[in-house]
Amino acid sequence: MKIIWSIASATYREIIRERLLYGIFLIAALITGASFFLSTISFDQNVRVLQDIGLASIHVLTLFITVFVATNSLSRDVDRRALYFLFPKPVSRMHYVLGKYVGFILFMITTLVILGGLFSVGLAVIDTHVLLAAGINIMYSFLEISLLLALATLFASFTAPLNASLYTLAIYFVGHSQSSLRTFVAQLNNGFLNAVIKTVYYVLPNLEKFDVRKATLYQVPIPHSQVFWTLIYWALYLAIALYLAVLVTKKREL
Amino acid sequence: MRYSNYMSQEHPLIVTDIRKNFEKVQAVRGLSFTVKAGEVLGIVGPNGAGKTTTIKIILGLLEADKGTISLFGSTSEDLQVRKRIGYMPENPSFYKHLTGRELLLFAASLFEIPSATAKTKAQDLIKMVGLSKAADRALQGYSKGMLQRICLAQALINDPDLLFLDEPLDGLDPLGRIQMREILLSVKEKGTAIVFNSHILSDVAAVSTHIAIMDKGQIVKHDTVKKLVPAGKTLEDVFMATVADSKEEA
Repeated sequence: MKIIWSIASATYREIIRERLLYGIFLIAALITGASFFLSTISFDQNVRVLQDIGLASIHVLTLFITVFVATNSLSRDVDRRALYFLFPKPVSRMHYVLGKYVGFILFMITTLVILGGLFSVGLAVIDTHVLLAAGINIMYSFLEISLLLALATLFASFTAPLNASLYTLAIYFVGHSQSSLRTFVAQLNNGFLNAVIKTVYYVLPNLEKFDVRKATLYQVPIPHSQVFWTLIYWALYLAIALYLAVLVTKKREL
Repeated sequence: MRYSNYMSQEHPLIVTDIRKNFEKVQAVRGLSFTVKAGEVLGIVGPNGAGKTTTIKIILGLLEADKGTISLFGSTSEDLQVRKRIGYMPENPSFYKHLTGRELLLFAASLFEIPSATAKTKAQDLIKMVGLSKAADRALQGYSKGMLQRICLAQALINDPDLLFLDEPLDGLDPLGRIQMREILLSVKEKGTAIVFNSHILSDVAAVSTHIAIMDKGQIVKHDTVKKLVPAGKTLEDVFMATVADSKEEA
């Protein structure tokens, strides 16, 4: 556990010293400003508009930034021979994959805290009642992005960083369109397409499980059982993705 | 293959008939040698002779197609065995945003060395490799020679019983080379077995107890320095003659 934490902490330090955080601060300020501006053009629902645009932007920006940073960090370890530094030491490939992943999670939390924090401050000025809903949304964003980061870690273990980022983002878009795809294909009455979409449905993560933005915006309560099964789904998917990443990394020659 | 306790205590490293191909290129062709505690094996050879590949195979960074390697009677897969090994890779550049001191503390944490001991050990090593003034600067500002020094320091953080160095003298100025040689000799005095490769033949002859000359993936000569380099000749003479013979045979 200590070794995983050591790798995580070195990974985190390497990332935050990249001066990337200054850029994130700037983006956060711009998003918050844009959200407030957009909320003023809506007549009576400015809080809802602000919440909707702001939370969606935080989610997408955090996803893009962390996936890009994670896949590049893994690739840099190979380019800079960091793996030659690590693997002759008592560091297993599992320690490495989990250590890097925990480092990415720490960076993702930092990004969410910065973006979410700035946004919440702005939101609190208008209406403090919606802060809880924003908090719930950010928690669900954490679950979804952590799952996608596990997949990015898996992809980066066998392909170039740009490919790994693109695969992860493709899964993000497909994962958010599964219900629509299933409905569409069912209407076509094509057995083959139906089977393909069914396979995709079960193999790729169903990210719609993590989308609670509309529910929280319209104050629809989320049942406890739904939260419970979402957490189980998240944990299982995450474990499988990281296990596969460890397997691929074990096979990799340096 | 597990070697007898006696054999592995006597020889921390036993390499038996290892082979490695990269597609159609035979990088390592049936290499066998042993290294005893306190022995310094200098591996020399032209570019592409298979020196770095051999070290990488021993450390488990590459998988041999054939052959066995015994490290303290076990294999490189064994994490307990790796606690007794130090490795300095060629052209290190790894964590550019960490400072030299942070890199050493990070290395120490991977060996699960207690924090207080690690800090003292890091300070001692920083002093030993002559980086006291630069210890708290980010590695991205280090010259090649400074990176070599900090890389040697991280390889010594666990007081290894078996040390591997890949081109340790590369990029060092004459003073740096003298210091590096002195450090290696002091490590050897402690009974640490050392395996290193270098193109600087005079330094190899000065530090090693044994020398292996490699060419085209094979060891073409392997002996003690005294036997390999006769009086009145230099390692350079022997090396040139050996590699020329090897080329003629091919």
